[in-house]
Amino acid sequence: MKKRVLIEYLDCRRLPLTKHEGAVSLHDALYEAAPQFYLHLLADPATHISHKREMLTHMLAPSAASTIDRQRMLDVLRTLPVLEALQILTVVRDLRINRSRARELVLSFLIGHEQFPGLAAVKRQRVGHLLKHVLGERSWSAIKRALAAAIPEGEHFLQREVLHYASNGDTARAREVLCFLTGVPFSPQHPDLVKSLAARQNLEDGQGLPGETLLGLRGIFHRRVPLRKVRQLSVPVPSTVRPDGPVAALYKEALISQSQVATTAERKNQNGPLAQLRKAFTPQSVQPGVEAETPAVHLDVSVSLAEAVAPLPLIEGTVAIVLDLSASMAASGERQYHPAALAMALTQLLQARVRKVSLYQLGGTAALTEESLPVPQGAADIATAIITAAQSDPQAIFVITDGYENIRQGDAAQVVRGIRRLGRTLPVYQVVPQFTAAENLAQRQLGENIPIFPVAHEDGVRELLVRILLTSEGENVSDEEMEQLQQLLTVR
Amino acid sequence: MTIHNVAMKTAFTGLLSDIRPGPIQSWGLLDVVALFSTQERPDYTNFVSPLRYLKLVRVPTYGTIILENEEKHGTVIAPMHIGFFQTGAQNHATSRVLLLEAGKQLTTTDCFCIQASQGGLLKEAQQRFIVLPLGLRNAAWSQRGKDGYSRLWRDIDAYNRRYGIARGGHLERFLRPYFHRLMLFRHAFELLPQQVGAAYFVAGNLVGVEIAPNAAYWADVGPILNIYCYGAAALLGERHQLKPEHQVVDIEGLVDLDQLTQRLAEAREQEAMERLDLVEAVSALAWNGSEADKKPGLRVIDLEQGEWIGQMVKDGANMLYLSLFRDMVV
Repeated sequence: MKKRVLIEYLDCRRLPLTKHEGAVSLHDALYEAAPQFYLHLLADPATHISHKREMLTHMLAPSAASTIDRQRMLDVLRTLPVLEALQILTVVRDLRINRSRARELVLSFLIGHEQFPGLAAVKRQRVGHLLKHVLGERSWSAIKRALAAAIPEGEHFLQREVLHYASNGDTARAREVLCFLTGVPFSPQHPDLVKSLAARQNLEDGQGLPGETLLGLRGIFHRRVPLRKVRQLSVPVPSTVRPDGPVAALYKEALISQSQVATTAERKNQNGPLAQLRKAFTPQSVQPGVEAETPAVHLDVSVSLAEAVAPLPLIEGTVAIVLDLSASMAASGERQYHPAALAMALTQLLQARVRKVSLYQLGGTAALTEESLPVPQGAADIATAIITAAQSDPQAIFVITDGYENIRQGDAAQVVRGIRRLGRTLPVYQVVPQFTAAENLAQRQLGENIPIFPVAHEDGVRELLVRILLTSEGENVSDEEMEQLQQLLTVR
Repeated sequence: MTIHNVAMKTAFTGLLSDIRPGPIQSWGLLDVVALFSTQERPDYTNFVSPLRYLKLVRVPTYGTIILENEEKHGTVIAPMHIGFFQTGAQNHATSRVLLLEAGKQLTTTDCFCIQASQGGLLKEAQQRFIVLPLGLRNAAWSQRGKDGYSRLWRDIDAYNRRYGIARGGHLERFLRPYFHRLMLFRHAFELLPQQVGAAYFVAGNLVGVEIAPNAAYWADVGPILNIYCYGAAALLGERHQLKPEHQVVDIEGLVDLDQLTQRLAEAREQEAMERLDLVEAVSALAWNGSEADKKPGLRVIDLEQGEWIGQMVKDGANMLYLSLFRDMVV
């Protein structure tokens, strides 16, 4: 596979398919170059759902039958969260795909899924429509009649058409769900179905169902129930903020606790020995233009680091990191120390998993090592650091920063233009440690010529490792690299 | 990594004679030159941070506020045009520098109410500090020492309209919708070790010089000035389509990376010198202040020179605090 094809795909995969001109032909090229790898891209958590739907469409094409086994598609789909998989499979109905391969895939996935009852309870209409599409109107009606009549012929028909897909041979449960979907009267046993049916009579009995489901039920059965009641009854939306990874969590905890110790010490005694500790976390008496000389605080992250890098492959490559530990990386409020902790974690992970890493640190009270805890301090001269990093001739430069380039905003972009003018093509990426995906980074991008990677979790190091792999010499991805790419992109 | 920046001047002459400049930081239209004490300037550690020790006791009537210095061993210099901000109450701002001796209370009657259509008096809990936006400070200066809590409303109304915001002497109408943009100025400017002040430029024009007694004081007050006072001025400059005045790095005919480093340094150096020359020129003006207030050992002095106005606090011949500004011409 050509590296440039994969890079183009990686660059556009976070956005909807329609946002990238030529996305469909890009998918053609990816599929033709490496169909098995293409299949595994379905499991990439960073990929927008529209790309995944396009992938499934490609893999269900008649020409793909000989290259991608249906069972393997099913295996990959089952690694995804069930709602995401349903969204992908719905493309079969949306595009009116009527092949037996598509039919088998949908029936095996849905009826054979352990969460079939739960999925039907919260997405009744979508699941019902999809099954009706793949089975056909007449079969769907015949199934409805067979479920209602309970005669031997009907039983045989049900077995042949749908029940044999049931998870662990539990045909009773599959029958119950099919009754629920087709509207055939039955006595529900599964708690999700009981709740969903009860909510049709009394919305309060549906407490704990997703808000979207309850809103649908309200629209049909309980129009007079106020919306705030629905909000009270619905299951709380899980926080969009993922818990920190082990290394970032260690850094954050240490930074916060040290900060608290320092503040308490200062309050108790402004001149006592503990107050001196505070000085490690506040501006020091140094001349501007000279590095801050502050005693380093000890923090050993080696154990957590070893655990975190265990599932990651070792990448042959040379990379330069410009690590911004200026004062703004401390952030404030609920984000306090998040950017700095995540930036340090990413740096440590890269150092542990890339053969040769040169680190250029901006700001901070001490140099970052596996055993030190630099506290954010000072300003960020990113442009000069990029030039210095480029002098070591790396494959790529990662600038890990919040994007507040304050030693002349715009210098970094100008310097990269200068590097290009010198004929150097090495990619320079801006890696932004984010707190939530909702952060607006438009004003914090170093420049249009510096691609930006928002990273909200230390898992994001996988994307960085992928980029390093793709900057190795040669136009094509080797088999070994392909294996590493698959491992990096698709493991959840 | 060393902060690579500017030719270091040893010190300014004139008003800022015990102050020396540091690196320039910039974000959007706002450039900030960090200011440091020279070795001769004492570290006035007995002047404590207003954010930590200045307590708003209560607002007995509109326009009057009672403040207290909670620190028993240090003096508070309440910065010029500091505002107290609280949800559900009429926010107030001071019209001048106030001095509060250790552990003492002070009642001041010439404050401004900055919330025309909001009832309720400020309580001591949950107070937050602001500094009036630069565009209001001229008006606030000219109305210092007078009575009438509503006397800044007309100016706030005019100020809000410059942002295209509905009428009313209600500063929060500007602050609320612009808060997320103003907050960028907090993070964009890094506090430097031992920094005691800053000179502010909007689109290359010097608009303010602020000096604190010591670094701890500045660490608390500096970000507030960045956000509410000078950040607001930079936003207004954007609305008026002003452009940043930056020396561009020349990349034509580059030979190698060393040359790129050199050209970057030269561009910065040139820009820094231009900025510092402006500060030097203001510092060297003939400043003839008039005494506005006096406390044992301390004097508050009003400063006026052309379009520049402000106040400083002196301890004998030494300048402890300075807030000097001019309105931005747009």
